Amino acid sequence: MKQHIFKIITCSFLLLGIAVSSCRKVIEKDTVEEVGTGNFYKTSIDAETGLFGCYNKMMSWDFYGKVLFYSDISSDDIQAYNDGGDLFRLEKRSELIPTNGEISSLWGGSYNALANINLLLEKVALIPDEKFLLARKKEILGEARFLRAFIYWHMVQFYGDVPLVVSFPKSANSTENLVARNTVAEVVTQIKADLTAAESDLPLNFNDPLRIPDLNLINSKGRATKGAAKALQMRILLWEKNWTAAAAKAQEIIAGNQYKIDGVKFVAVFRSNDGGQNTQESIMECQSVEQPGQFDNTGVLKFFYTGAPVYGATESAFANYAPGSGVDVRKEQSMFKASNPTRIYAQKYKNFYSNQPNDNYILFRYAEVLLNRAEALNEVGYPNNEVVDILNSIRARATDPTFRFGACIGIPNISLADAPTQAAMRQLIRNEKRREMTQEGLRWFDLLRWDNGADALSATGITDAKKLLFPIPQFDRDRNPKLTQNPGY
Amino acid sequence: MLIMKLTSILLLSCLLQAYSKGYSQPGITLNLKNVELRQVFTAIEKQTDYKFVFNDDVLPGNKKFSINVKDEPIQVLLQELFKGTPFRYKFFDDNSIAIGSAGSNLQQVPITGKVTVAGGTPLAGVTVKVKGSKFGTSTDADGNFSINVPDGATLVFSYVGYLVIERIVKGNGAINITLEQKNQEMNQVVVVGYGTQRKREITGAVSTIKVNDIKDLQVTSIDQALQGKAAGVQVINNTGAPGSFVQIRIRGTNSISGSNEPLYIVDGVPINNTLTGSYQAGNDQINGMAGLNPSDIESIDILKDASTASIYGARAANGVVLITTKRGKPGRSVVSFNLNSGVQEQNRRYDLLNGQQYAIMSNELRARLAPNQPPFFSQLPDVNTNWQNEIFQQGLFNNANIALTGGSDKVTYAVTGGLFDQKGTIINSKFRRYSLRSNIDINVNSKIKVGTNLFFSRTVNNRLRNDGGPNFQDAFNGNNVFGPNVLSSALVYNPTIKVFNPDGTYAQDSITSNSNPVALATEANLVSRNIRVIGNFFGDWQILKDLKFRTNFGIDIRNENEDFFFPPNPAALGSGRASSRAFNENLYVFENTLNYKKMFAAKHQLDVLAGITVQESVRRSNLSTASGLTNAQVQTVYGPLTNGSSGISANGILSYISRAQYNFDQKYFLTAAARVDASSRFGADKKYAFFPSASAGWIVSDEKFLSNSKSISFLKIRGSYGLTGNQEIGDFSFLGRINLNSPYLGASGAQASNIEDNNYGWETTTQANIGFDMALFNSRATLSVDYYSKKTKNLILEIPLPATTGFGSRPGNVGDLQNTGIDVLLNTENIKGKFRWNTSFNISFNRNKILKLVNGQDIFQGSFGYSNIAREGKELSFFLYQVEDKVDPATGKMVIKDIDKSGSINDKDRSIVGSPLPKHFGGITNTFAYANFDLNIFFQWSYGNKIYNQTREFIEGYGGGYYNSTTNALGRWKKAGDVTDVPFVGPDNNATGYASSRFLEDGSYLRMKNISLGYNLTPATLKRIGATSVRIAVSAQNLFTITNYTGYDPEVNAFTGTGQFNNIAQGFDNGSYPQAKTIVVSLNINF
Repeated sequence: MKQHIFKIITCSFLLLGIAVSSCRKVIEKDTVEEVGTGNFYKTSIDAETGLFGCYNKMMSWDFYGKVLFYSDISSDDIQAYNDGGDLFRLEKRSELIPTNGEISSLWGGSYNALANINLLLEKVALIPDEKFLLARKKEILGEARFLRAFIYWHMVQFYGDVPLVVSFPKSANSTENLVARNTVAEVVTQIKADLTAAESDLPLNFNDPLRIPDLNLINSKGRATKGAAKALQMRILLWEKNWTAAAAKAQEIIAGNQYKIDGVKFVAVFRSNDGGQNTQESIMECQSVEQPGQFDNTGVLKFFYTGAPVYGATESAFANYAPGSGVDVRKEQSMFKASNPTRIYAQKYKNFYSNQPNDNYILFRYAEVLLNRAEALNEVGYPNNEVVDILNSIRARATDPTFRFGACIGIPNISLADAPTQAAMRQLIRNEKRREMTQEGLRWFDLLRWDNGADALSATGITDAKKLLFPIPQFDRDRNPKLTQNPGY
Repeated sequence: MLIMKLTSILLLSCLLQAYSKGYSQPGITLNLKNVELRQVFTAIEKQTDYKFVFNDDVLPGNKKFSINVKDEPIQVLLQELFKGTPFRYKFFDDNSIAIGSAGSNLQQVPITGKVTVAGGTPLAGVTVKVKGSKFGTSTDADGNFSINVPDGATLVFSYVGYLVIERIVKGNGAINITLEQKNQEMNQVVVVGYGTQRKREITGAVSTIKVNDIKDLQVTSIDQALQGKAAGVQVINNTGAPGSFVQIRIRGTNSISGSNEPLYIVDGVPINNTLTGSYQAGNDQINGMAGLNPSDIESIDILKDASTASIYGARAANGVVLITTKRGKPGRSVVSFNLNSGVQEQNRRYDLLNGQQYAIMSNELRARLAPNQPPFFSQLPDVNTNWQNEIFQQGLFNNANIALTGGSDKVTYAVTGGLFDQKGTIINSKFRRYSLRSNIDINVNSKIKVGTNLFFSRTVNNRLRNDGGPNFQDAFNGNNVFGPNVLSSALVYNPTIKVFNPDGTYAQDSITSNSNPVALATEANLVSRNIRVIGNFFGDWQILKDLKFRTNFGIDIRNENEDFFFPPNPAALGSGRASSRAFNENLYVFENTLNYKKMFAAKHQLDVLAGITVQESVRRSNLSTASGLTNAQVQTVYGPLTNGSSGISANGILSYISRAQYNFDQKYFLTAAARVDASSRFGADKKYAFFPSASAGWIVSDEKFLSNSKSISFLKIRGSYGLTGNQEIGDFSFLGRINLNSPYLGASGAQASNIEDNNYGWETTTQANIGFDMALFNSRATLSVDYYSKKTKNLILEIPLPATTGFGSRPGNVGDLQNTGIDVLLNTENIKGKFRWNTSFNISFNRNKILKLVNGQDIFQGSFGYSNIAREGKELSFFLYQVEDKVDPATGKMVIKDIDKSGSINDKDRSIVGSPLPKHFGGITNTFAYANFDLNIFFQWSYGNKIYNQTREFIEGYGGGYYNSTTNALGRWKKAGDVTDVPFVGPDNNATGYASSRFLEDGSYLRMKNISLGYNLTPATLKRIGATSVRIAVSAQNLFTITNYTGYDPEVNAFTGTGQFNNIAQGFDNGSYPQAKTIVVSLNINF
């Protein structure tokens, strides 16, 4: 019997031994094609990679591609030629309903980008500082905070009060995930905090190749810099009608001496095939590479000319330029009127003859800084010669005899006499900005803040002021009872 | 203590015996007239202690005796009785009186022996009697008996539930008997998880298919052989493409998003049956099971209920198919050759318009669509090409196998080789398989046994771009010559052009610029090459008399390579395409079990199993594609790459298994089993899954009240209840993951794919099963009926998340569904004797009901406008727009019923119009045998299921313009006022473009699956040629099908595999390759 017991014990150990030795390895597997969340954000390279993922999200059709598109459709610059379904309702606001697929997908895309940014902010903070070169840790966090501010800024513009989510969800099914809307003021407070941090932590530019030695492609225009953080702050100050501070913020960018418009051809700012992009005027622009496996803008610039456009520029946008063709290079660059059928092609990024697909688009450029300073200065006090000088510097650039169509003879300078009152000057600045910045996603947000939205109503034909804001998407209200609806929906 | 007791009892009985010997018998009084001798003996035995011992055959059956005695001693009585007869008698010490005929030796001889059952277990209490008399004894606890009987007498051994055995006594000595159970079928060995049981002992629901049941079936893969043979097992050959996927559903559809395929275990190795395929071949998938050789099968056992399957835990919810291959037996080496050779035909055709009818229709369409253009045909063409005939061919079917089996007491072996070659019924489709198997068992010593099973196969499968519509897949690439799918293209191709131009090049339709179907089939190359190795090593160690240790290490390796090439269209430079796909799957399993088997007190039998198993599986894949190729000679991927990617996935399970089986007196059975599975697929908080089950059985026929029943020879009632799981829920689904494919600024970017869910786990199925097995009329009819009720909970479905989390949804365990049904199996022996007729019939009913979906939301899937639906409270169904009986006489368009009366057609106008799931299905096999001939007729059916005939939609409805149509188009609407049910032919005839009931058809069918006539050579002939058996057979597969279905084949299911789309989009005929009629001559020789 003793021998038997020995055998049984041997056997049991054999069985147990197998179990214990193989247990962990067998049942604790980690994904190979992707990285388990718990294993990421361990190194500085992880942080850089995560940051690129955040840029990708923010720049893609998931977020800014839509922002660019939706704001212009909402504005008086772009019109739809036929019923484009849910997109079309962004123009015909009276028919906009909370189940609109477009406003729903922008909502989802925004929060998806925010989740990635929040995850990065939480995780990178935990990586020891010494793992980073130079000030990269601070800069990465600064870049991410800039992206978060940028997204929330556009969300409050579109939706008004939105839930302010600043952390990655702890679990999929937690009740903590059911969040209520925060007021615009609360969100703007967070935006400002993020921007203040970003402004102080971000570099002036990324031209120093020592900064990120392990990455091949360094492009200062493709990512957030001190200039971009200031430019966004400037926009917010204008929105707050804090004219003095706005003018001062613009002046900080000007004094930084990083950007210029003199000598930068207007056409080169937008189109790669006109020898341009990433010009000295550009503060931040989305970098698109048409190559398999690279970030490209496919679908983002979709209302720009693509053969048979569903969307085109409006008559009022067209009429905003000086009469006659071949006068203002900006008009030739931005729109093209065709007859039969009568359509005004929007072509700021893609011209009528060459249909290159994946150009960069611009988030901030120096001309806007100048125009914003002009606007702020005019509000601070009339008359101000600097305002006239700024406008003339912009107008001078609109003359380009070498432009493809040849005869861009240019537009004349203005003087104070052209705008004898503060109000006249205000209108002149606004019109100039529209000519300069059309199809760049800014017009709608300007209309919303000018005259407290009255401009937006009068310019677009939207009858109900409540429709200036998007509805909160119904699908998310169904999932989260705490989400209230905007009035009017 | 016990020994003392026994001793005293023995002593007491000896004393009593001694006493009776001394006691003189009283006189006998009898008055009987004209009775049989036996009655006289009975009367005497009643009055005295005497026992008559005689052989039945010595008694004269018809002779009548009369006797009238009063208080006479026995000797006087017998003298009186036998006066003038040849009978002799003799008294013995034990009061027995032997009776014999004249000249018989009335010598009594002592006989001893032992009675056992199969496997050597002694049987106590067996009655041992001299035939015809009441004289006898019974076996003791060790099965031993001893008796004195007249020499030449016949001993009868009987025991409840066992067949009666008779033995003639020839001199003294030992007679050892092995009793067989009454119902032979109930004695069959059934393979269950981690062991075997006799069918009698099984308390769950198991279907068994033996080699003999499927020997004449001409199938490519093992799973096809299950069709119509096992109750509760639905088998659908998704297409007729050689080597393509076969869908198996055991007791219904259990999962909406996971897998519904059973777990396959080959000789103890759980194999992977991962579906592979590529976009080049449409929906058609490669069937991993086709790598195995059906000729190697000895038996297939299908575990259907929880009590049998729960030992496989988290992989058992869809049932378990245990495949046992042939093994050697000690003795002479047997060589068997098996040769099957035949042809395959596809003779069902759609009735298409001929050239002239097509020309008229095209001109009509031209006049309507392009009134300013000249007609296509200024005169009626004389060419009439039926493109179906051009792409269908006579297929070939060749299957040769050789097996060498045999061995000694030490080593047994089975070595087999197989060569399978099938040419499909559509040109350029082929399937070949070369396989080898070696199964070896070695008895190292009386305690240790080891063995290996090794299987190797290589398959080469020439596949077609098929399954799908006649669309322009590659038109954007400038290559519409080799774009679309073969079969659907042939059905719509212009019949007025010939296959080839006079110069030998492929002719091209100028009207549609569609591809020449023959060119499509022959010029594109899609070849999959598969290598499969399945093997295991096992060892048994008999540690103690009752305790056995078993170890089993197995592997399953699959290596697949697929090359695809699309030659450039001569008219479009650089329109060639190529792809190369590799798939590799490695699995190992290591299992160690302890098994304790013991019989207590002759009646309590216990069998306990415990063990640990570990299994891991890794899959790797590569795909590279290139386009812009210019040369038709070089068919590899070299040009501008359009895709290059690789993938790796893995999973592992660690499991603890246990099972206890107990029976009392082979009459009352109890089984409890449990498995704990820890899987890499489960979330951290749900790592360990527990799957218990219990079952009980009662053999009612062994109870006193039924033991003498003339009609019921066997009756067992059984019931089971337990849990099983489905872990086919994705390898890393629970993890929070970060992908790295979100580049920016030339570097890869990381983005979160989802949020971690530590509660993510298996789908759980609870199943109750009640059934009985019954044998009637001397086992000439056996009936098994099972009722089951299955409820599957925690179905994986996408759960919407608040968008503010950053994620729209996440799969989680939320849904419920149920399947209830009845499985019936009836076998009858209709005629016995020289001419034999047996019938085997099975029928299965299953009702599927979806109980809970996420927030009660319907799930739509399917082709064209989401035509299938999963809805709470309903079974999986078709959800379609319904059409009116007539087309609109004004416009000639199909009219969709405006069910919600809204005035326009919208989502609310759809309704449930039937289900792809059958109401019942089954099979019936009739076997006739006379002399050396045998005839097998096997029908198989499916009833009540609907098919969406998208193939017909391609022809009649989809209408990409100037497509050919069926002859239904002859009755088409032509002008305003025409009243007809056929709309005008053209791309816009449907009004909506929605999937509608117009193409929904009844998919019920009854098919003569197999008929085979065999002839076995007579022993005399065999002797001459030196063979032990030779069988020649002719068999036909799918000879005819009775159905109302208008398509090629009602057995069709285009969308196959796992995942929500395939599970819900059932019942589609999507330009699918139909099954062939196969006629095969077989030769089977054993030496």
